Amino acid sequence: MLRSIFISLLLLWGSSLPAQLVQEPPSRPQGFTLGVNLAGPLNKLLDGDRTGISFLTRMNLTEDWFFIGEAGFENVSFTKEAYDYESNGTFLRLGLARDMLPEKEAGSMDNILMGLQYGYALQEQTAGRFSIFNGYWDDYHSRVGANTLNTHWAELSVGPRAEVFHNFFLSWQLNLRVVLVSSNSSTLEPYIVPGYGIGDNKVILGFAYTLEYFIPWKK
Amino acid sequence: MGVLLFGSFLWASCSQNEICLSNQHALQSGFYSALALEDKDTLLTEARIYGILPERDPLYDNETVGKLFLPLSFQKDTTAFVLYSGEFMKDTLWIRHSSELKYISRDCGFTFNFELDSVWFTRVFIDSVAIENPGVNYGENFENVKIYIY
Repeated sequence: MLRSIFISLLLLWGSSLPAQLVQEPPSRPQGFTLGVNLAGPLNKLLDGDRTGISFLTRMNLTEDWFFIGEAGFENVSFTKEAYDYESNGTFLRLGLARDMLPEKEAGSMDNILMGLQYGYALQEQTAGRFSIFNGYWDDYHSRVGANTLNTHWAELSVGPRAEVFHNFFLSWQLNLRVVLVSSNSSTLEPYIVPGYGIGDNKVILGFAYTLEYFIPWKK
Repeated sequence: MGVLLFGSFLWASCSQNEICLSNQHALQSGFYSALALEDKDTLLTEARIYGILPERDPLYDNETVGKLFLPLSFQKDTTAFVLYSGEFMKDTLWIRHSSELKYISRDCGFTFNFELDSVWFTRVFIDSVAIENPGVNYGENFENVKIYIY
């Protein structure tokens, strides 16, 4: 904060100088990151039935605009009294994000990123057994065979990103996800849509926690 | 850095479990007086009611009842019940229905929703039967059938 005030005062003082003496803050190096989204492993801690991970890249298009690409998988397997379920799937997320940080400190690579992404998941799911309990007449037991489904969604994300070590970034984002199209033809709704979250909900709040390493290509 | 750590605490707020409802495949019916000009609810005294084909344990045994919950069969398209009032007054009710498999939710799994087609009955103390709401659906709480008795 003090640093920001100091920089602001410095800029204010600087604005009274002749134009030829004003120095532009050094532009940030351009490049791309390679990283991992830890949402999958964290989900595994909260819900042992889920297994997944994803990898991402973030690329500077300009000083403030980033391209984001992410790919990963998520599998679900559980046995409940009501039904057994298994799903295997992969997902892809592509989009743009803008750095909303109003004042950039010299030498700092920190951001507040707000972005819009498109997500796509392809998964195969099956309920190997399900039971409906009557309590008076005979119970009903059957299975739902494997079916493949596609889900398309849009995602609004916002969150901070900080350079914790040289070229090494830590960030989290909140994601508001909205299903655009789902091609499910089965009675069975997906328990989890890979990369999206709970399959019952058409609008969902998600979370990402990423570690990234920055590879500069232009200073 | 503090903001980043704060984010990790938000993580735990996303999971919630749903409460699954039971007895959602039971037809709901009420007894009405066959002698009244307008619908007037009444009671069936010393009622003993049980399913047949095959015969099951009584759902109601020597009770006074105004409303009934009659579970429908998953395996058959007709569910039948015997209704006794006292020791000797006996009627039989056959309910014809279709069923549709439905997925409720990730926590509750599957259920059957029913559509009542028609009801047949004997006429000892039952005067008539009217299907008021033909759908017997998960999460709904309607009276499906009115039974008019003397």
